[in-house]
Amino acid sequence: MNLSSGGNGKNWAGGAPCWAAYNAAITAAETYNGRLQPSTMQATGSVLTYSGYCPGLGQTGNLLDLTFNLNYGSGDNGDLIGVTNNRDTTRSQNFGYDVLNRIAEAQTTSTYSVSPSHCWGESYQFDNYTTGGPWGNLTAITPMTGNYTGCTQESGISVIATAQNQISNATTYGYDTAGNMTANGSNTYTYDAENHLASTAGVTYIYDGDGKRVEKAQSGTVTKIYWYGTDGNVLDETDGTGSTGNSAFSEYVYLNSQGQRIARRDSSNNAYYYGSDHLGTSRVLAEVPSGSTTATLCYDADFYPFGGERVYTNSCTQTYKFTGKERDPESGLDNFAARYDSSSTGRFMSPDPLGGQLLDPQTLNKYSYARNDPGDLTDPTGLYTCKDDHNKCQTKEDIAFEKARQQALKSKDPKEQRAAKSYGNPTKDNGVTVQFGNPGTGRGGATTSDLRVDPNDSSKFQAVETVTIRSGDSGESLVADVTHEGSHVADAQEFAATIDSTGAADQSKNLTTYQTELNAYLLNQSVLTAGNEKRSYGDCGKDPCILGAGVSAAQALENINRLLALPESKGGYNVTPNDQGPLLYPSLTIPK
Amino acid sequence: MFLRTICTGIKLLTVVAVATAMTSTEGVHYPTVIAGEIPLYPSLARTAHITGTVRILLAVKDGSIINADVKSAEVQVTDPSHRAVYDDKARAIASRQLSEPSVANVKTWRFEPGSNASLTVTYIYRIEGDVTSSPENPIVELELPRFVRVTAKPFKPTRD
Repeated sequence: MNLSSGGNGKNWAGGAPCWAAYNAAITAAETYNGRLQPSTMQATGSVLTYSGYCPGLGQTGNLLDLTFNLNYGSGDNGDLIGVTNNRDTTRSQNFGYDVLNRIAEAQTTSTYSVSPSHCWGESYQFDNYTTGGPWGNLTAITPMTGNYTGCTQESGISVIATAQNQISNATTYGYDTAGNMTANGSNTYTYDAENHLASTAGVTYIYDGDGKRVEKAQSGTVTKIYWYGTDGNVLDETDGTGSTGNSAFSEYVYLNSQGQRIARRDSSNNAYYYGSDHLGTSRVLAEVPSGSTTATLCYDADFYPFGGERVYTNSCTQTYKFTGKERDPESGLDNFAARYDSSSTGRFMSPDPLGGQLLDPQTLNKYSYARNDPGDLTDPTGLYTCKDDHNKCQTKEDIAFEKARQQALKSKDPKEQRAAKSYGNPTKDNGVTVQFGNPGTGRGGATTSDLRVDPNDSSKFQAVETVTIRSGDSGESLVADVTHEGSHVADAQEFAATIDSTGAADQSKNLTTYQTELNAYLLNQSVLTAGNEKRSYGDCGKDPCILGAGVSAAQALENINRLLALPESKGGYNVTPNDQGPLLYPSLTIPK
Repeated sequence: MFLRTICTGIKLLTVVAVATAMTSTEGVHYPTVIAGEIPLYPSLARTAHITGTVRILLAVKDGSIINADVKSAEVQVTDPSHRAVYDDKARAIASRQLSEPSVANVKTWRFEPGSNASLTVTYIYRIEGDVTSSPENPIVELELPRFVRVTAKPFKPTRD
């Protein structure tokens, strides 16, 4: 399956996809409003061609045809208030919100008298069934009455929330001491020491060291293997034998680095194309049999706000559903990488391993899904919430940082790799936090070091590092700053790893300011040289301290020494080889 | 109780001390500390945000310490990034970072010659105040021989 055969794609100036043609059979197109919110998403079962300025599909999409109303021009808070389904307007949806921008109600535009089979309506209540409350616990999903009496919808919930924001009703729900849900009335769940779901409904799950699920097993036999690409997306799925020649085999194709899944190929080379909405939820699948250029709709579904599926056509079974996450047939849970989400209760099974933000108190509830605004927000990794769809779910700075880190990871210089690796996997808490801002005059970044008991092994200690990268940093300069700070992080991590439970540590790894800055600036030299750029550091007077292209190794060392010896007022560090300044962890001076 | 002081040996001394302590609630004294090292915040515990209270049962004979056992250690472990939540097992492992240095410190104490006593010494370690970029000496309060309070400021080294 070659996506570029007989077709290609275009992006809007802001980077959002404009249109793409797949396999001489399908055209998909998206348009955005002046606030860069999606306004239409369409797909049609034939290839259309466009001029370079991306006007969008502009005609009826016979596979997918959604128009989004985000109240643009009349409301300022950006909540999605309606989605018109132009293929079948009885399936169009409207949404209402409470004063905290949490979803309060959702319904089809068609009432029972208009479309008894398509209509549905639900109300959502938080914390208390009758009075509501601010804690962000979804406690009731109830069917609407009046014009919607007689419509069918999800089974709904009615629960109470405990002081720990866990839900209970009689004896149905149970939690372990780490806060993971262990029972919900239909299944029981066990978790491993890293709070990964270990088993449920007779299926056990195996994870790799980065927390990615790599296998499913039943009664001791591996039934499914996930094969990941370097960017963390599942490229292939097979049975336990790894065969690519049977019905268990699937191969996936992604459009962009955020992992928008656009196609699946089976072992007979039949292709299935995904049509997704603004949340990345797979709404339609179009089948293109091997050798054919004709697309046929084989899956068509709507989703309730918290992810419940409402299927209309389902002749090609698929498991990637709500916001593109895999829904496990055995449990009905969605795998959000760091944790699992239960669409039927509209909340996560396990608490958020990261904290919320005090400025947005709704994020402080560690179980709520996407701050209970599921029509506008997604939670791509189960770790943090981000605005809008899969194309904009990371800030520009996050994306630029990750790109720079990936570039450093691919470097041939092992020290550069070490610096990039120190940041860890973005979906796993290794004690490192990256933020963007002003790290101080003349600096590209700053790192603070702290220490904690290792959450995964209480007999060990782990460095807690906060890295601030200068806002707006870009290009080789950003790569240099990311590796420079990563070098400090790696230095701290390596020393922290030597501390044993008696408090003894390898003091040779507790570096001085001179040593850690020398390590870090040598990386600035190598990164800038590799990128054929140079940059001046500090206020070194007539003979500036330049690092990068054209500067010899000996000259670079001399320039770094001159820079480090400068006073802080001139961008230096006040340290020399003979007076190296304080240790990385100045209070830890117990020799091993 | 006083009748039992007729007993001999170590037991006698212990019982005398208990008797003294009991009467101390009516105004009688504890044995006096005449020398000892300054208690500081154990460096690893301070850097790794371990705080808490350690109670040590001390037996003193003729002014010297003959036994110092940890009676209890209640510690709190904090993650400065506020992500990790620690359980009792983690606290139990971390508690040695406070209890071992406390025992080491109390063993440097010498009492007035001839003192005999059995008493509980309580070490209280706290981390409070503004973050500093280099470690400063803690505030040490002594209410000898029963209480030692060590209060340190949190610190966080910065690298540019």
